[in-house]
Amino acid sequence: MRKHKRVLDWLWIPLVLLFLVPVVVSISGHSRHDRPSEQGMLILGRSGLDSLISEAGGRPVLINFWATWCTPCVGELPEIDMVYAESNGGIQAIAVDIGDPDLETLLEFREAFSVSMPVVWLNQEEAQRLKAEWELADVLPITLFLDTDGAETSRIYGARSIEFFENALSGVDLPDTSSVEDHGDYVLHINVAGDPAESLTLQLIELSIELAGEEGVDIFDPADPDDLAMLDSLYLPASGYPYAQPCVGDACGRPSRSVEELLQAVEALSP
Amino acid sequence: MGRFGRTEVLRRVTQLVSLAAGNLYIKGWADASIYTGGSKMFCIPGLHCYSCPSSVLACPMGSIQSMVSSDGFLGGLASGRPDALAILGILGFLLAIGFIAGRVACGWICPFGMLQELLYKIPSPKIEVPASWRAGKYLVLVLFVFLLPMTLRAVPGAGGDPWFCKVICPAGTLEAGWPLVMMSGGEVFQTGFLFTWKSAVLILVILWSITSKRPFCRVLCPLGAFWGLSGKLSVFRMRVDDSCIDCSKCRTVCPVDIAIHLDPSSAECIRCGRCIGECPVDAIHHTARAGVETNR
Amino acid sequence: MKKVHISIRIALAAAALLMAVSGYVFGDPFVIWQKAASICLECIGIG
Repeated sequence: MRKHKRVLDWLWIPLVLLFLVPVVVSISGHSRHDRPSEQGMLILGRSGLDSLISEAGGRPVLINFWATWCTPCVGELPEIDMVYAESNGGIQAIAVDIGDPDLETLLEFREAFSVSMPVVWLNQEEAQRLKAEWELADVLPITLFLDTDGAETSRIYGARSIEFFENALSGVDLPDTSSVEDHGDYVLHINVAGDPAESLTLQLIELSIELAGEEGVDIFDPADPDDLAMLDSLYLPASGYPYAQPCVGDACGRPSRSVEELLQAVEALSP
Repeated sequence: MGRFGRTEVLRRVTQLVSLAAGNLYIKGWADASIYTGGSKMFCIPGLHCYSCPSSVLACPMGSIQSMVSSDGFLGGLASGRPDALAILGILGFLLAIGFIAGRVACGWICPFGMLQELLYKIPSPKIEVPASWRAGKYLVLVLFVFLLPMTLRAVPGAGGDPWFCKVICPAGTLEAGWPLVMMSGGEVFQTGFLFTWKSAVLILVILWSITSKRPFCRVLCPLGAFWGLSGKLSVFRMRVDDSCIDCSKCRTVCPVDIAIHLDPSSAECIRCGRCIGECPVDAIHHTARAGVETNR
Repeated sequence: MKKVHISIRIALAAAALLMAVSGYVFGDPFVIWQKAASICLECIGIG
């Protein structure tokens, strides 16, 4: 009886240590879920990006700038990731999220979407500073290629296919498409999402039609479940209505929430 | 509750008012959002999840873990970096409460404490928790609130995780995890192993609270550990006079099951005052009297 | 613990209050807000 009591007296230690089980599981078990590819690491901040680049030492580097709301980016990421995974460490690929001011957006996105290459998240301030420093235009996606010495060899605006990235990284010379005009026909398309009864929505729609023509504008009413599902499938933001997002081919500008912003975003895309 | 008189009524009212005051953002429950106002710079004196839809204050334990787990926290604190120094605001706030009246907030404010008290009212076989188990919460505080968040890095160079929140805190599961997952229909939030684990922890804590007095507060709560330790040096304390007749009625009514007449300065005491009204010879008091803690 | 004089106890409480105030004055309480104002996925067992 006495011995029994003594064992009971110490039972609090295994009780508390039991909570180490989920710690160990979640530290070691990122691949526990059936995901299309194993989720790579997420790194926060500019210093993380810099150290990834410097760690590449002697390998070619591909840096892809994207955001969760950028449809072409999200379509392109798995392609880049495939090239990255197949290189077995031969190249360094980094996906830099510069368009989501709120980290939570990215975290939620990663619940359903995984890439094995490292993803870096920058807050708004860091993203602005980096865009100025590297002279990045206000479009997404942007892909930079760095050679083995870390010098930039080419800069691609807009999304590309897996073959393109394979060629690019196997040393085939690439045309630099750092101005959007180089890249196919200039066809402007604008997605507008918002309550059609709101005057700002109407202004955005009016301006969009003026800029892109009737055919170049898609209008989504978030109050309509079908439209909402469409927004979701296009990875367009499901908050902050109304907004208008201009795209040219496979490069998109930021979602704009005023007439002036929309004009600027279209300006940034135009040849 | 009437049996314990005015103090007990006042305490329940205080608990309810605190609960309401900390949860003014009712709208959050309608659209599964959380409050983002400036008041979230300040902590609630209790264990209440800041991801609870209606919560307008921050959780002190969550905030501490979030800060100590940030990359380069210790260096930042040493060099006076403002984001690291902010932890002094929270630690100072908690210490001030502890140095004034120990675990008083556990007894008068903490919503999760109140929940456990109410659960204990459910008729069931009642089981005593061994006194030695009280040590558990100090291990939780050291290990899950400070050590693991500061040292464990899943991603090199990135921040650590709030491990107490992640693998233990049943208040978070109850106030944020369950409601947010239910309201989103499980679409936005993809639940996995941790959610199942934490749900199991919460269910066990609820069941345990029915059979035992405030088991989470006594065995696992890191905030209780913090206030219990600082309460050892609090200005206001309990005092038991010589007139005590060792009837142990105080222990029977005590929501944290301590024998105040044997240890008036127990780190467990939540200063609820139930025993004061219950004592047949009026031997138990609050006190701040110089030099005297107990006559016994 | 019994021997700790009341004046020391009061001083401790005052020092803690001072520490709290200095934390908000010299520290950046924005970091507290930042964590509290976005859904803490880890906290609710999701992230």
